[in-house]
Amino acid sequence: MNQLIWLAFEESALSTDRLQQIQALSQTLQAQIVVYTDSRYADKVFQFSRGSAPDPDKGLRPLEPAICSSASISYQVPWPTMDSLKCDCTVVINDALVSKLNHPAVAALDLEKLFYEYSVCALLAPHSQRWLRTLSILSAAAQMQFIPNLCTRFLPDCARWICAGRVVEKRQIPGESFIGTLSLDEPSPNHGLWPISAHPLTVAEVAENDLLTVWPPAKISFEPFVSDMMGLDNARIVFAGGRGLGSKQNFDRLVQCAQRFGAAVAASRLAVDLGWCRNDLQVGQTGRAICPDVYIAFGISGAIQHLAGIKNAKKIIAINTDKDAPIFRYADYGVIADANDVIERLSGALPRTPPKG
Amino acid sequence: MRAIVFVSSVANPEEKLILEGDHFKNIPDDCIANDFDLIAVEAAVRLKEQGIIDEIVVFCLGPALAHVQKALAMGADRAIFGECDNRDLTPQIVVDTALAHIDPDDATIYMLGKLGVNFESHCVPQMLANRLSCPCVCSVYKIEKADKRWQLHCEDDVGIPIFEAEAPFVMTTELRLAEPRFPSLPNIIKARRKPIESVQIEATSQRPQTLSLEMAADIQRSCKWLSTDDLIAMVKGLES
Ligand SMILES: Cc1cc2nc3c(=O)[nH]c(=O)nc-3n(C[C@H](O)[C@H](O)[C@H](O)COP(=O)(O)OP(=O)(O)OC[C@H]3O[C@@H](n4cnc5c(N)ncnc54)[C@H](O)[C@@H]3O)c2cc1C
Repeated sequence: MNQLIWLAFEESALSTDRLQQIQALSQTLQAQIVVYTDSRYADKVFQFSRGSAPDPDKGLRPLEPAICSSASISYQVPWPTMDSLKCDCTVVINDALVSKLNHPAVAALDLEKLFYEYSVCALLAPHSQRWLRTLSILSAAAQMQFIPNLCTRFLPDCARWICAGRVVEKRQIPGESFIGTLSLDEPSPNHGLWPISAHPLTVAEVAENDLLTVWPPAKISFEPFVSDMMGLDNARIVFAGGRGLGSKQNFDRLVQCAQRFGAAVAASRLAVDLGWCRNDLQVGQTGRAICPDVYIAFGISGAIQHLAGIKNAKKIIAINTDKDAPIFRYADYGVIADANDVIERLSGALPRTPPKG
Repeated sequence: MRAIVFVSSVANPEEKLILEGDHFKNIPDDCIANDFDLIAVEAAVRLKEQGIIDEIVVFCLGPALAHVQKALAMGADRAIFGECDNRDLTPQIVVDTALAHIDPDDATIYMLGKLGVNFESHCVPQMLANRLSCPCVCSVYKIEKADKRWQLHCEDDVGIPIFEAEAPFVMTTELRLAEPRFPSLPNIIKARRKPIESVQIEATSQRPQTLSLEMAADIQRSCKWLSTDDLIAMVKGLES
């Protein structure tokens, strides 16, 4: 049987939203799902598959549902709805692979092995800067079709977002193996972690050399981000800041306010360019696409390139001093006010949530 | 040292898009030069001003000569232009045609936008690098050069990579690398005398795989106005 490989080296790649997408794709492709992950996340997957009793030898802890969101936010849907989301899949755990794939110099998996020996029909990862970079180079090297920003909403058509999300391009599902990045654009009722079922779960250990040949194109120095922000992809509530905040100091205030509330933080391109925050927070055509329940935009004008990343949010609230700012045309609620004042008042009005952990 | 900069014409995604079957039907006059490619032109011109690059060649396939002229007016030295309908192009055809008309050597760097704002295919730079067997360094926002070595600072959402490379290599440009200049009138006039070599596209490779293009659902919503107090109450309500 064909295999669909899903690269899940970040927590959000194991969310139920992602599971639904992967399942839908695997049905269309008639392929078996193989998840590549590392032990950090595998622990969580195991937890689901083996019931609730933690295995002290393995150092497994009971899984907290609040992985991606503060405990103070309630879930509208029981979390997780395990029965409706059963999924057979193979999990490949390989920590060495992660560090290699995380490294920007890596250009090639051993595709010959993957695609011929294991009959892989699709290799997919979340749509993000890092996977775009790695997988686009990889597919060119393998002369395979590359499908960035693939969306599952139009299956069995193979569709992807183009033109800052304004246009849907449809193709035939490729008859040959392909590589792609999967856009997260299907708001689903629950954002929990992947409840991989109690069904057979094979854990395959793959030797690191089986999988990767590193093609060092050049010497490189690499300083990985140490993440202390809450994962954007899974977040239910997102506070986003733009140039309208006026300064890094004000952006930091927004971050504090969001953390206090248990929301994740996002930014516009200009906020990133001004150096107010890291670029992994950037949302939009050249950043990430997210679909939280509530997206609150502070001082963001609403350029189409930005909207490309938030159009699937369930509710959009915008705060802007300019009543004609385009963002209001795309918002469910608008407040014409100074964003910094609102942040200050909001911070004052919110109870302090105890730090997690 | 030579820089070859790829410039494509795209339907302006901020304007009305006209779709027909598998392609954009916007007339050439409504097309713009791909934003990211102009950034590549600007970056190349700055390298030339610093004496790092001697010659800038613009490579452009598409319907609009105007974009070639613009790049020349910005400071490129000469151009290779294949007039064609964008619908006849695939990443493969672009790369095949480029390789048929430039002679790759070790004293060339290739600069391309990190994204074509229409199709967002992420294919041409990568395929080009693969065909040239040279590195492909994506999303460069700062370029430095000491002796023969280039330092390319890249944007990435998992960290901050800095590549060191020697020519030849392919690089793609990030938004904040450089702000494209407006060409001055004398430069626009001067550009008219710069050589443009006209070429045919290599139609050997397969046709586009696109079946159809469709407008995505309208994303406008109807906005209800709130006061700051309403908003705070609403946000507090989310919490419980
Ligand atoms: C090819 C391309 C790709 C791009 N990709 C992206 C992308 O992925 N993501 C992205 O975000 N952008 C992207 N951009 C940039 C995008 O076009 C906009 O420039 C950017 O999103 C604007 O950021 P902003 O809203 O923070 O700033 P601005 O557009 O400057 O808006 C600031 C807003 O703040 C308001 N304001 C000012 N003061 C206050 C105050 N005190 N209180 C409240 N409001 C205030 C102003 O009225 C204004 O509406 C891209 C651009 C290009 C050309």
